[in-house]
Amino acid sequence: MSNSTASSSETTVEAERPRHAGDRDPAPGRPRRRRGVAGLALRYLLLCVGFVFLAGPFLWQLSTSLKGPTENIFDYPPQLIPAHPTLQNFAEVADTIPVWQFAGNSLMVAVAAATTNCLFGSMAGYALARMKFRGRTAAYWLFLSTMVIPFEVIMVSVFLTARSLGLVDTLAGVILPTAVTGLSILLMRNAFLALPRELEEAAILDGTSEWQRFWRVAMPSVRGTLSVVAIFSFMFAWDDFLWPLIVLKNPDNYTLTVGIQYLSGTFTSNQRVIAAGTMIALIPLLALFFSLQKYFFRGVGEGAVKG
Amino acid sequence: MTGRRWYTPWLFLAPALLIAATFSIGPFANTAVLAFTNAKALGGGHFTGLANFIRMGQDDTFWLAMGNTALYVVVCVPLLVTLPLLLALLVQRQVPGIGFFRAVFYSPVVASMVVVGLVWTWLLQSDGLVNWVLQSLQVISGPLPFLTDAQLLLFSAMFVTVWKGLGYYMVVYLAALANVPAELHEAAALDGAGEVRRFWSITVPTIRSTMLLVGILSVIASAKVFAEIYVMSNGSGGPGGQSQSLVFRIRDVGLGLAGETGYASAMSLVLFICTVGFSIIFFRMSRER
Amino acid sequence: MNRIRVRPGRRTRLGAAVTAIALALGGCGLGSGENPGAASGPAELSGELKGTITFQTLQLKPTFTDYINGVIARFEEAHPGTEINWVDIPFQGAQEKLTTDATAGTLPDVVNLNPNFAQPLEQKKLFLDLAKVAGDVKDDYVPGAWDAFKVPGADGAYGFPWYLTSEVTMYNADLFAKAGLDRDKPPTTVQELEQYAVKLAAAGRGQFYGLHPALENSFVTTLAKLGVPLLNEQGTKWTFNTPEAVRYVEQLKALYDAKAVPADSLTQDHSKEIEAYQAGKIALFPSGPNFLTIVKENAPKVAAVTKVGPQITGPGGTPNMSVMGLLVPAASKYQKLAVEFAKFITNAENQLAFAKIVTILPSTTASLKDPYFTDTSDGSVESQARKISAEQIAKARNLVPLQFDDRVKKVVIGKVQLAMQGKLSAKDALDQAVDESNQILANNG
Repeated sequence: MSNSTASSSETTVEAERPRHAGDRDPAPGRPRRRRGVAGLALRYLLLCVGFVFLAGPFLWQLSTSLKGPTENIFDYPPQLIPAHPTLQNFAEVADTIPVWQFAGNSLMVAVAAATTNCLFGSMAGYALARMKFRGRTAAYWLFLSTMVIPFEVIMVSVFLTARSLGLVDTLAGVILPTAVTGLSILLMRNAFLALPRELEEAAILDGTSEWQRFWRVAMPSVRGTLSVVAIFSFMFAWDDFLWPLIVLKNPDNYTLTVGIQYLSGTFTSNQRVIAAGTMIALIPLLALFFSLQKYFFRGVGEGAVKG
Repeated sequence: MTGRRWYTPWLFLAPALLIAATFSIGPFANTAVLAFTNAKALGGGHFTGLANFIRMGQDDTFWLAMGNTALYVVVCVPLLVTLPLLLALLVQRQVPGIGFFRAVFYSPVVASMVVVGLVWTWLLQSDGLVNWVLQSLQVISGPLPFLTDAQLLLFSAMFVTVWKGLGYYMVVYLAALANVPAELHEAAALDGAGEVRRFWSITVPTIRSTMLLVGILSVIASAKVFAEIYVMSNGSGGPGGQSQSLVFRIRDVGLGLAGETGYASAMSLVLFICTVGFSIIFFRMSRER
Repeated sequence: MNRIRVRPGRRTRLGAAVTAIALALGGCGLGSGENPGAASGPAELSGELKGTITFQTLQLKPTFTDYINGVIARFEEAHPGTEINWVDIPFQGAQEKLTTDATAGTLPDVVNLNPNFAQPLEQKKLFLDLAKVAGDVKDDYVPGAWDAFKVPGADGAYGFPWYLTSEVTMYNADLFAKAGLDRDKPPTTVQELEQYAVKLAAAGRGQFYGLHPALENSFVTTLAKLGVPLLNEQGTKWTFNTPEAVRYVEQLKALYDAKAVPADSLTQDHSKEIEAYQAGKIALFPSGPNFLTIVKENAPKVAAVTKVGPQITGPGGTPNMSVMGLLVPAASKYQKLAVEFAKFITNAENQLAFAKIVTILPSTTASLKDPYFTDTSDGSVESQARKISAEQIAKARNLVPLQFDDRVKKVVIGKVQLAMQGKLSAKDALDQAVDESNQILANNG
């Protein structure tokens, strides 16, 4: 790939993009600052309300997973904070099921799904947003309509298709049906639609090919949405339960969501261990969210460019 | 104008089209065929014309489920378009500790439906926290049957849908807000426009297409609602199944080894047509404004 | 953004092309799943005892991994040239997985199913008739268990009974004491159960209740215990809208109105019943003795005051039991091996070893005679529960009709819930339930 084109287009893009978080208010006059303090207080108040309202289930599960064997976890009223916190339940998950193997399978599936969704989703989204061609509207509605179909309805057909393609009991069989979803395509299309036209026009003058314009000009400007697509598709692949269970035969290939089902059964159902298992499944998702968030938390609120 | 070859767009679309055709459009075409048969879960069945659709017309449970689903869409979509945007604006500014709050606000999205059901049923049960608070504030005299009254249960499930959707759509909005050029805000601020004014005259117009997208996504999600009603009602769909949604009904009829695949397919076809139709209307409406 | 108008002709053609591709890829809809149904196979299975088969169980991992692997190892040792692949699937989603496998013809060679799961597949003649090919071992099993895998109104039996459970009445003795009830005298009949529930709830004053109805689990078995005929002789029509049943539904409503059961329990199932018992919110918990272990794990304090009594019965006195079985698909390539292996794993010796790991009962009459099932000298609740359930298993039947599948269950329980809320009279609720269930039955036929 030609370096000169790349660097020139990337600078163009940088200039178009809003500044990163952390930039200060340009002219903090005195009255503004006082209002700022009140505003900040209000903001934290709202954030705390949001915290109480939204964090509940997560903390509840965390608390259950940390409770010791002598604590009655169905006590009424419930005990919110474990009296004898322990990590023993997490160890027990690892003793009970090959949690690393399952997590490895999940990771492979989820990373593959995130990659293919970002790549194919943005290719399709780019075509839908930035190219004019016959059948564009039809293609748009076609992808949209794939989102409407409830999976349970088509499950048996999808399985028959997967079988005829030889995908049964392979991780590829788990990945392919959601390798690019309507959601990814629509999100990417929407992001490309928002790009200013000048961006492309400059690149066209540079004499770049369509693929280069897509890959070197358009893609870097939609990193925010790309990370959203990555998170969403990673999350769906990681959480999916029914399809992996159906398409996989050999339990060695099971993903984590399927595998942790073994923690609760007819003969055993230790809620603390189950909670620990679900925490193990949740933590990678939150970690991923943390690591990608800086790409889409670029606010307008920070306002001005310094200097 | 660009000298692009006619097939270039199709090359870009090829992988997505191939996968969509193989794993969703294809199987769904199969479903569309089955809608005109009396097929069972274990195969068999023959062509029965419109019999399934006629049966649907007389099936009270179908209409009940249809009505509940329509109500779900009408209530949830406006909330899901507006509330996550407000949440996005709240967490967008960089203040100390904000990363923590952002992740927390996203956590309902990643929490499993089982846990969500457990927590909310615990809060909403007749001797749960919500009833306790309402009673101590003397808003109500006796506990409200959030989980055992068909209507209240439906609203409780809607509440959970919105609650779980907040973080999800917040993320979509944040990505879009990041695209709003900061220069526009600066210019407007220099002109003396307040925050509210800037929100309406700059932010909203630039993220309009995202609002439309969130609208369509939430129409589709609400029309397909199942999990929330399932966990809040313990899989019963409310007393006597009075709070069930259309997908709930489709699963009841079609799933399992004795499932009536033909009839379930016919209902899926109706759901599909209604949802796509509703999306088109929504699309047109938003465009004309 | 300008929209491109597609000329109608083009659009239709494109649509047609997409549909054509889709149909080709999706496989044909009709007729798929017509399995090679060699329902009535040869009376004697021929062929050698060699090959590799897959053995699928329902949620036995990880608790019984060592046990199952041990049995497999012994079988493979005794029959050189054989290999058993053990696959264990979780209970959740099992129904969907079985449906897709049955449709695609990819069922494993030996499948672990309960009678209600097995029934629609048996009707489709997907399994070997064991009465024909393995009739010699029929008498080794508890008769009620062998019968659970028959298709009503047809010949043949399709499953080797495996492990059994028979409900006992677990109760919280402390709560009994608080309500002034004898700690050692649990209720034994449906009538007594209700009287106890009212007394307990009155003493509990909202802190605890008598019982949790868990209708989806208990309603139809209770009707059977009360002597209500559930189905007609031919198994073609539901008949449970009798005056006796109406009276029972009215009693349920009275219990609900009197707040003898928790208000939210109306739509809750067995899993919530366990939770409520573990939380000390209900005093009575009629269920399989295998739940004793679970209560011990989650709620040690409640487990310490838990006692057991025999199963609640009606005037007839026939207790209920739940059965698990092993079935061999007719499409299996190694039918002989599969049948031999299923026989082996369900034989008296192996089942006795299984029962010694967990509070289940073997389905073989010989193993039930083992002193293990009568000895309560260690004084534990488990051994008492084991003794009680082993005693009642001889006369127990699977009281839930095989036609009572998930859909019928949903209709019936839904109507009962409405009756309990007072939205339908008990009579109307049962009449409607019978009508709608009959419709489902007719559609299944």
